Amino acid sequence: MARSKFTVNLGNLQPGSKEYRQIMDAVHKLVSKHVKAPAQKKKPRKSLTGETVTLQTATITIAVTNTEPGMTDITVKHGNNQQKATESATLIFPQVQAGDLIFISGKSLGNTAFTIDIPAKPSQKKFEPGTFRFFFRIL
Amino acid sequence: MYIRRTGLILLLLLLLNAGLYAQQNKTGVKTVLTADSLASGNLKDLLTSFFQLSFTNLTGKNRELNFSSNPYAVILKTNPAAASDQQYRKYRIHRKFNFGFGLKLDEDYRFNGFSSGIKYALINKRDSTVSGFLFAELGKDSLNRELDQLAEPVAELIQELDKTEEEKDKLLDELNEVLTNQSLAFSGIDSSLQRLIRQTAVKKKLIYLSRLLKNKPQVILAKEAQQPFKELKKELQQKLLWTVSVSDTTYTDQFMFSNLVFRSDILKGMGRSKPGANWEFSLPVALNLQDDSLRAGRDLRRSEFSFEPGINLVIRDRDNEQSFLEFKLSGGYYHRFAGLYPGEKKDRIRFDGTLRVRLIGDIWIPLVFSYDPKNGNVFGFISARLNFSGQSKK
Repeated sequence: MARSKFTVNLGNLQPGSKEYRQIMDAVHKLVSKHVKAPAQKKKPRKSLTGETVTLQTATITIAVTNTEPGMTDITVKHGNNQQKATESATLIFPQVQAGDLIFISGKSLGNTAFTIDIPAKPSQKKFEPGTFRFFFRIL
Repeated sequence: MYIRRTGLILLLLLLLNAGLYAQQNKTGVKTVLTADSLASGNLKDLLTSFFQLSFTNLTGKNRELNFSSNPYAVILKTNPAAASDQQYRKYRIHRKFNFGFGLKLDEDYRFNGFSSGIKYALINKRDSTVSGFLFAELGKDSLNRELDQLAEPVAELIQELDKTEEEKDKLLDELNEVLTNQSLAFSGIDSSLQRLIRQTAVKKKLIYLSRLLKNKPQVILAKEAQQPFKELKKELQQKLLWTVSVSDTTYTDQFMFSNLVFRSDILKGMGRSKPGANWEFSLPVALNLQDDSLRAGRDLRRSEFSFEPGINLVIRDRDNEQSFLEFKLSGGYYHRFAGLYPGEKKDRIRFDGTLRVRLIGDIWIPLVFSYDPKNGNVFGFISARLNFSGQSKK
């Protein structure tokens, strides 16, 4: 049984409306100090067939060519998880689910190619030297 | 006689060149422009990007057929993995080298000796693939900075819309397209997405973007965002290039040097790069050691120092910024240290003019005129340079 309420027996005490409010405030303050609400789980999206989509790990591979390491600056962001790369790299993002977006922006003096190992649209993207920005939409 | 013949050939080439350019524009053929394709012919004579075939002095007595290349470009052809950034750094020295060899022919096209040489770029500030200046400046412009702040909030707004998942996904994909597609105009996307992007730009105080979308709705954002990079690359073509080289020629009957040249070349753009034309300053200095044919045996006792400063006017197509005509004026001072022949002066000066015409693609025809103020002689010769790119232009 879920315990989301409790009762305090005040005995013979009969507080006025002002005292009653003070007691309630004090109780709420005490409860909120000691009892923390559990973190809300992200509601899993359902696919078109109605199946529940599970969390997965996305691996993004960045291949930089025709320039030297350090001549590239890339930021990859999924929710609060932000990672950076200044050369060819493999970045791992756990807890990715369908409908999520992974944002990529940056610049490079070389050619840059991005690929993701889970179903996404697009599944890969290539850029000429210069600036770029796009996102993977997880399917 | 030579001048008349070369003049006629040049006129024909100019007409052919103009015809080819006109034809290209008429058919709307779009050439892929790279730092390499935008480089001047003068620069390519100095440092080859992949390989260059040249036929020098086609109308003169001492004809030459030369091949020069870049070791890294040759490695890249056999091992494409050498292009990865880690490998690219490993081959830094290879990238700065040029090597070459050639055949010398007389006026009857008979073999007249081998030639070979190596060149190294001591300073190459024009390399757009490793330019610290270019990397530092890239992305600092208002449009790129503001576009980086746009995608995420617009995507969030789309996800909050009261639409089906399919409709939202379609808008998200269209947002991705407008950020990356080099031919998709802003006005060509879904009107509700246009509205969301405009609203976000105003809300996030993206002033440049808000104005751009209001005043120029037909803008192609992905293409417009690349414009500052192209401008920076043009500026790079004004930077310093300094090469040093050593080259030699052998005798016709023996693999022994009959001529050895140590050379330094400096090339630097002058003033601000303007659309249509820009100026380059070149400063070649050389020490030439030759066989003294008046002495018995074979040696390299005849030595001459040369100094040939010049300026090069590069005329570019305003549409694609590719240079198609170059005119170089240079003066030459020559001092012979040793091995003077009877009647020969120790010091002399000469004036040269070189007209380079881009025939098509990377094929250049340089025509050199020389004037000797002492004798009042003018002579000219015509050459051909074929440059080949080592990297795919895709």
